[in-house]
Amino acid sequence: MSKTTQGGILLGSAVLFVIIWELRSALGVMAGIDTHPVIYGAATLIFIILVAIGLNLGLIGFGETADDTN
Amino acid sequence: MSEQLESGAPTFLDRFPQEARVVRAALGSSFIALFLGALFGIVQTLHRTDILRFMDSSYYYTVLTAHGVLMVVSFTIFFLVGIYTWGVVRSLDRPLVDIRFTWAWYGMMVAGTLLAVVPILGGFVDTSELSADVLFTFYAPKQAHPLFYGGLSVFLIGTWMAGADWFRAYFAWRTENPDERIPLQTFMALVTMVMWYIASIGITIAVVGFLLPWSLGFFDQINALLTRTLFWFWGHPVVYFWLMPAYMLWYTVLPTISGGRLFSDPLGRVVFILFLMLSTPVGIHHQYLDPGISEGFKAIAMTNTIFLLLPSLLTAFTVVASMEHGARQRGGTGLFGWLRALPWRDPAFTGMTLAGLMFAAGGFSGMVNAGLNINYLVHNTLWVPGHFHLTVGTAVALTFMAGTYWLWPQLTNRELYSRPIALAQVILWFVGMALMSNAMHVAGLFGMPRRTAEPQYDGFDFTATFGSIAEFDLQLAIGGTLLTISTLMFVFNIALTSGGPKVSGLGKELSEPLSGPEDSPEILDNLKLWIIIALVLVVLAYTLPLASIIERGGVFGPGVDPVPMIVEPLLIYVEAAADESTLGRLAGGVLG
Repeated sequence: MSKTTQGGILLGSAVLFVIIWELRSALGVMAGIDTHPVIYGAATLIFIILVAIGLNLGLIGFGETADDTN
Repeated sequence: MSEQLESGAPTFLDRFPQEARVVRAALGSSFIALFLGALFGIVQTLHRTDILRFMDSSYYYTVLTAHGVLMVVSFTIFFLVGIYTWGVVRSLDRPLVDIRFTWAWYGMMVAGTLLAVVPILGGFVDTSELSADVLFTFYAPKQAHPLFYGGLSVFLIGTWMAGADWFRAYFAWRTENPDERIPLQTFMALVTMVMWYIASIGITIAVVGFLLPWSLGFFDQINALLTRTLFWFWGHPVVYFWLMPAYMLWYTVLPTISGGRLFSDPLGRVVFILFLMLSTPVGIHHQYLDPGISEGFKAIAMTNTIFLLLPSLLTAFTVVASMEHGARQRGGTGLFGWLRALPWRDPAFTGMTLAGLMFAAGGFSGMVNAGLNINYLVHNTLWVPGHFHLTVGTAVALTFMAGTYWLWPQLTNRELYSRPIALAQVILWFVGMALMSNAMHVAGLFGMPRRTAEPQYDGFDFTATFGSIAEFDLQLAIGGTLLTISTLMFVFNIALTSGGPKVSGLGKELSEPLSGPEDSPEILDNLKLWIIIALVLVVLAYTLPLASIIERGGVFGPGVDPVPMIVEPLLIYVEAAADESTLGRLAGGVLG
């Protein structure tokens, strides 16, 4: 059973997307590695979707969390 | 009062209904400006990226000016006066001295905005003499219709009156509480306004002394470098004017909604004093490529700018420490495990936190801007808008929107229309801005210029070390579109909230700091001392550069005509020369 809220999955997916996408720029500017935008973008999205599904199903997670309702 | 007072704490509206109306009006004006500014933003984004064009490029600067002025003058400053009115009244726990005076400054600001926006929009009407395509950075030789400068002046006077209103409330409170420390939120508002008064010296001289009479035809020539320098005298501290209300929310509201308490009240006071002292004597760092200012003065400005990192780093420490305290109060454990205990489903918390995260990235790109040598790489490229869309466009704007989700119900006695939409909105802003700003930064590194409708020159290709220019244009357009959608979600969520049923008990108290004002050195509250030091630093930083500029070019020299008057003759000259001369062949090659 998932212990991660849907809001948490949405937020985590967004942050993960931004980090991975910024990594592409870092690779390109600093290391001169020219990744293919479509392949990199598709792979990023697939990875994030898999992580989100894993979190939602409770396949990955970090144990108990406090109630985050306000 | 609420129609039904059932349970819970009274709201700001319950306790100070007259002031709540002013705060609502100011925030409402701010959101209207945000909405309109966003529309101009997406038009501009889609146009310059050549994704979708439905206007002639000759209107680009009209759109860009409207976007800039509405966003960084109207949206930010209306929000500032609203949130500071709330903060001052709440923290002093007393109403303002005379609510008629309060409405007067609000009216001045509205009138000033309308007066300034009319000539900007006049740029869309070819038959109209009204025009103000001067961008937010409205120094000479760009010349606007006098109404634009007049409107800005009225708006500025309105902000001065707002500050005077808060000082009056503070003095009244001081009479009743002679031995108390200044409450933190009031301290922050007053220090911000002192900084604003000092910074306004530059823009007041520039507008009243030069730009307005110049546009009225009182004199023909103007010293462009002098007005640029006076503009940036104000133009950098205005960045902190936008930022300091966001800091106030981070220091006083974010710890509470994290479930904890502010780590240190004294550190908050130190940070604001540092902003007061250091934010003005740094403006010349915007003029690293101006030929009329010596490298020595630029190096001094760079040094002062690097010092300005200190208050931001202090804030990062204090705010994160406060959040960690809140998370541990909520059961969070471990070195990083406490992060999971934070209220991530709360749009106010998540929005402010993502804004702070983006601000860290903006700080890094800001350090590049501040470096005298590396600035040459990015000056006037798309990197610069990429930077300030992270700072004012996210750290400030997203914090304001997130703070609104927390405060608006207390100003209206109405529950937020949709928390899920609010949460999605702040996340969408984060993603959209990450995409847009990333594309801007990278394209800027490739040399892509800012402030142009046609960034891709004929016969010249930018060299992309990875990807392609077309790809970054697309990324920029996608990011801008997501930001527009996010803005619409915010505006309609707030509008629908305002139409909802009234309820009671929506009031929320702010927690007391872990280290309160009693731990803070009393000298921090000695505003006179800090004003004197700030003025001395300004005199040291600006006297010699200004004297040098005037000595070289004169007060009204060295003779620069308004920009719209030189473009057409220049083109005629180049086209005529293109017929047969060597210059003509070269120009002909350029013109294709």
